[in-house]
Amino acid sequence: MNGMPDLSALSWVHRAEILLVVGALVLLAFAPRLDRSRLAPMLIGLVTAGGAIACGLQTTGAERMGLVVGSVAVVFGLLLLSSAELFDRHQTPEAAALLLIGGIGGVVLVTGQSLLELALGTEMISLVGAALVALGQGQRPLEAGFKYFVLTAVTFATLLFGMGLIFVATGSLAVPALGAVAEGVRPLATVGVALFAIGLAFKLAVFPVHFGALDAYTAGPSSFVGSIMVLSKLGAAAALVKLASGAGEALQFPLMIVGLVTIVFAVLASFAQDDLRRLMAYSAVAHAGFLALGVGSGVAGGTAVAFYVVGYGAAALLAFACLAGTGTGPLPLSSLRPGGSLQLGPARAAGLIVALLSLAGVPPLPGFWTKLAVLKACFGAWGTLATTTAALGGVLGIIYYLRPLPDLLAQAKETKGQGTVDAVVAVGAAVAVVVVLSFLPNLAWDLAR
Amino acid sequence: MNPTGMLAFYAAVAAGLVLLLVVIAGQLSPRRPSPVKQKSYECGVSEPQPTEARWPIRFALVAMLFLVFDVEGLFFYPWAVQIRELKFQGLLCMGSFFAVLGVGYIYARGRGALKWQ
Repeated sequence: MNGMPDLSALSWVHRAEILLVVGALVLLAFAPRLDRSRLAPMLIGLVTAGGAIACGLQTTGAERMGLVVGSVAVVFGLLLLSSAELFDRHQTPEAAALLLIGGIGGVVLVTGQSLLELALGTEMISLVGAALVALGQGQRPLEAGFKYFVLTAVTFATLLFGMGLIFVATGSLAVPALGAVAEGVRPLATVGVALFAIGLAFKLAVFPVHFGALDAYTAGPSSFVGSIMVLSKLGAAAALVKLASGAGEALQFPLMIVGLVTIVFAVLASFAQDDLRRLMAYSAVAHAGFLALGVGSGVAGGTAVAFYVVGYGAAALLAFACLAGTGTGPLPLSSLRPGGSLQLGPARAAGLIVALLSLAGVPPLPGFWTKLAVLKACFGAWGTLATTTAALGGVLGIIYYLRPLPDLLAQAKETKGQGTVDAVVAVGAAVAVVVVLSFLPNLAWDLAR
Repeated sequence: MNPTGMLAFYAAVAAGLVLLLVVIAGQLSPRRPSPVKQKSYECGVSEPQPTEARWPIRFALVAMLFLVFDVEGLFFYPWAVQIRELKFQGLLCMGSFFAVLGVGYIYARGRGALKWQ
């Protein structure tokens, strides 16, 4: 037929996106029936996300990295579905569908070439994050979800305004190369790029626009927070790398400064925290600082950022898999003590130790290699002062990661209380990924290039 | 004038106009407060029944669903205008859009969002 599209010409990225959309639609269309089964929503989601990973393995470069890392983050959320701290236990199909849609948002952000695609990808991840947080038990997730929703609205308004200014200046929605923009309209394009970058900074959760994400990470269901964190960071960092490559120093210098300030702020703020989940949220802000620093470090920083996302993603997913099923209320560090209310059991306590050490950047865990890559890129671009400040922030950060370790070590020696089977499977898979990346970091580096 | 100047001019006019209207309204409008005017809904007529009456939260949900589907349905109009030019590809794109919209409706119906009781 005339005008009939050639479906065989669809790229692997589009096939993966279509697969994820179909999976989400099936889950939503049959939600009233699927919610009776504990396994069905998880299995449908896993098959779909597995298909997306298979599509990703057929691609190369950023597409491969985005599809694989994004889909893996979705897989971990799905594995923890039955341990999820949902307000209504019957909403597992909705949660699974939201995770798949979040995966599409991550893929769109990594593979998108126009500003419109980047804005839509950001919006998809943000709305999914707000909804997943709000689905949690109790009042805290509702409040945090609403704050995240307001943050999303502000983010989208900023992105749209920036996009509008860039369009006025260049007549195109392509990511602008500021150097090539006519001199008369360059200030307009620069303001547009700055606004667009601020919108993405909200998603990355860097200082001073970290507050909404901080509450969402603290009060959201632990089963989903890891996936939301990784998808947000993956997407926002990939989009910022694209924007910075066109804008050059006009964006790279401010990002470097924002990165350093974020690292210092998050490390100092973390010392005052007594809640494990709040500590993890501030850790996410500190890591966002390292990502911003990497983006601001030029071309070498781009690969380092992708490498960082892989290493950070593995550790963050492991940490929140260990905390799955612990509710949405506060988790004081004192509750980890023997006889306290938070007894994780040996497997999950050991997993959390590995995750915290990796997030702290202790060698030979992936967090060490990824921090090293960003610091090396920073040294090449900005010299000694910036690199020393970031390195000091990273070293000081180790102190607060070590605070829960004695109690976790004591729990790791216990012999009872393993947690649910799916949580243990998720923890085991995440530990395997972290251990493999510790000794074969080149696997992640190859994926990031 | 270059676009940057135009933008600055536009922003200045917008801010100036808002300021001017606020000042004019504040200076010219007579102030004769009365208990009726102090109420939350005020149009010069005392309401025939209390406005603080309860109304079902269901109404908000149905209104929101109507808004969502109504706005999404607007996309059919530009497609209808270009239906011949877009040929099969347009039909396919609109079909996929309609499928997503349709699943949204099935989901809302399946979860009882359209039941009043």
